[in-house]
Amino acid sequence: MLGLATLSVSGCHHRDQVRQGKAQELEIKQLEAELAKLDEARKPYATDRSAELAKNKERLEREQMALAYITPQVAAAETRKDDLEKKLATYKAEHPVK
Amino acid sequence: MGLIDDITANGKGQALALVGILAGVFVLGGFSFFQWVVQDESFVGKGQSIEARLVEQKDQIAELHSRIHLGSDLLKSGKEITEEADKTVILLRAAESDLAAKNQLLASLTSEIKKLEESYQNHRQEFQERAYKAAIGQKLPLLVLKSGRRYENATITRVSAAGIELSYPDGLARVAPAELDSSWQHRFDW
Repeated sequence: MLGLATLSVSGCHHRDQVRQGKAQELEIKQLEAELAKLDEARKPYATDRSAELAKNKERLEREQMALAYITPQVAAAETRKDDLEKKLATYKAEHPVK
Repeated sequence: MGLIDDITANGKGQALALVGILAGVFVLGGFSFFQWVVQDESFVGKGQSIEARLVEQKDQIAELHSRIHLGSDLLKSGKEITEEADKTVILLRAAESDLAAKNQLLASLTSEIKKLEESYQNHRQEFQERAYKAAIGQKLPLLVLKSGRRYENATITRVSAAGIELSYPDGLARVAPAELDSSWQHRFDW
């Protein structure tokens, strides 16, 4: 009877190990599928654009500096043009050519 | 009638021995049955113990988790860089376009300013030339300068940016614009 009990316990232990193994096998398959999905999702980003990003950031900074330089010049030119138009109109009114 | 006959024929001892043998056979059968029930050849690898296989699987799972973690990080950073790169390209294009438009506007304004200045100068020149010409021959019964000097019965002979030239009974004179009052300044736009 003791032998039977020992065999029974041993058999149950073995069975648990098999169950555990099968569960782990399933988990591995799921993880492999997840990894494959992840690899697929990473494909569009396979090209490293860090260098392009750094270069464009530098260019953007230069363009923005140029804009900051030219914007007041444009505003001043607009003011100058308006002033000249008024000045010319006033002059023509005050000094008509007969 | 084997067993009953044996008990009857050989006595209690032999019967017990037989029961023992039968019990042994039963135990062996049970063991075989358990092995058959629990053994799974599809799971246990060739020449590999089940314990070793479980450990190997655990290592494999840990490695897969690690690769997934790394992959997730790479995907996240890849997405971030791509999004930022795309955003920067849009901003760059907008800045380039804005700068080009402003450069064009500035060039256009500069050209218009130049035309307005030329127009102003041309008009002024035309006005002055006509005013100068119209004044020639004008008779001035009395011209009093700011200094108090007086010219009587003078005639304007010439007008220029340097002033007016007069002839009067006592001779000729040139009067600078600064010596004349504001009505003369306005008249010839000095």
